[in-house]
Amino acid sequence: MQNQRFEDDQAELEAHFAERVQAYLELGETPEQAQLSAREKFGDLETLKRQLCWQRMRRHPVIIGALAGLCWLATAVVLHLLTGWMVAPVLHERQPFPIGGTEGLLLLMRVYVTLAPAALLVVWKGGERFPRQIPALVLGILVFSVIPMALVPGLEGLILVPTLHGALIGWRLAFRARQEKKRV
Amino acid sequence: MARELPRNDIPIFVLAILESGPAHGYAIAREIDQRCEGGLVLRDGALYPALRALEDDGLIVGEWQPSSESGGPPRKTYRLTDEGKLEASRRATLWRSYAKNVERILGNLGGQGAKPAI
Repeated sequence: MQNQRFEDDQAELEAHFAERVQAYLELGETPEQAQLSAREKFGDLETLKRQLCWQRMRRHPVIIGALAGLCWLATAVVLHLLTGWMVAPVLHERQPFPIGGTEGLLLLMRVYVTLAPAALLVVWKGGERFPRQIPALVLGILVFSVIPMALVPGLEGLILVPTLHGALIGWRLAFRARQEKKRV
Repeated sequence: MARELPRNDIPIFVLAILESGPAHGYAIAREIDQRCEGGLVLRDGALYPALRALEDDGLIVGEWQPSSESGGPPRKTYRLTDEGKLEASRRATLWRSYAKNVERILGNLGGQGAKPAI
C-alpha cells in the first residue's frame, strides 16, 4: 500500500512538472530553459518526495508509537544487559546502598534510557509540548531508574513499563500534532 | 515585491480554489498564481503536502482520471467533500476576521496619512 502511494505521488508530481515545462515552452523558452524554469518554480522533486513520505509516517500515530517503543525497547535491553554485567561483582559483594561507583553509573544509564527517546521526541515535535509529558516521564524514570531490579527477582519485566511509556508519548505527540493541524 | 506563500497558509487557498470546482495540482497552482497576480509566489511542490494533509483530514478527495488530451498521462483531480465545503467556509470566515483585525492594527502605517514616529 505504501508502495502504491509512493508510485501515485511520483506519477502525479511528474505529470505536474511536465505540464509546467510545457507552459514555459509555450511562453517561448528553449527546452533547456523551460526545464530550468520549471525546476525553479516547482522546487526540488526528490526533496518533495521524501517530505511526502515523512508526512505519511507522521500522520500515523500507531506507527510512530510502535517505532518509538521499539527504539526504546532495543536501547533499554542493551543497556540493561550491559549494566547488569557491570554491576554483578558489586552485587556479589553485597554493597548496601545503590549509590556511587558502578551503581551510580547504572542509575545514570537507566535515567538516560528513560529520557533519551522522550528528548528525541521533544526535539522532533517541539519543546512547547514537553511540560505536559512531565508526570508520565517522572513515572517512567522512577520505575526504571530507582527500583533496583537486579535485587528483586521477577521485576525484570518492568522493562516493559518505560517501553510502553515511550510508545504512549509517541502516540500522544503524534495525535496532538494531528489535532492541531486540523484546527489550522 | 512578491512574497513567498507561507506553507501553513496554502490549505485555505487550496480549499478556496476547489470551491469553484474540481481541479488537478497544476490547475490549482496556476489558479493561485492568477488570482494573486504574482503578488505571492507559490512553489508548486509546496502544494502537495497541503493536498495530502487535506486528503487525510477528509476535506478533499483525489481521483485519478484519464487525460483530456489523447495520449496524455492520467491526472489526479481533487474535489471538496461535504465536510470540506463546511470547513472551507469556516476557515474563510476566520481568515477574513484575521485580515480585518490586522488592517485595524496597522492603521495608517505606511499609507498616505502615515505620521512620522517622532
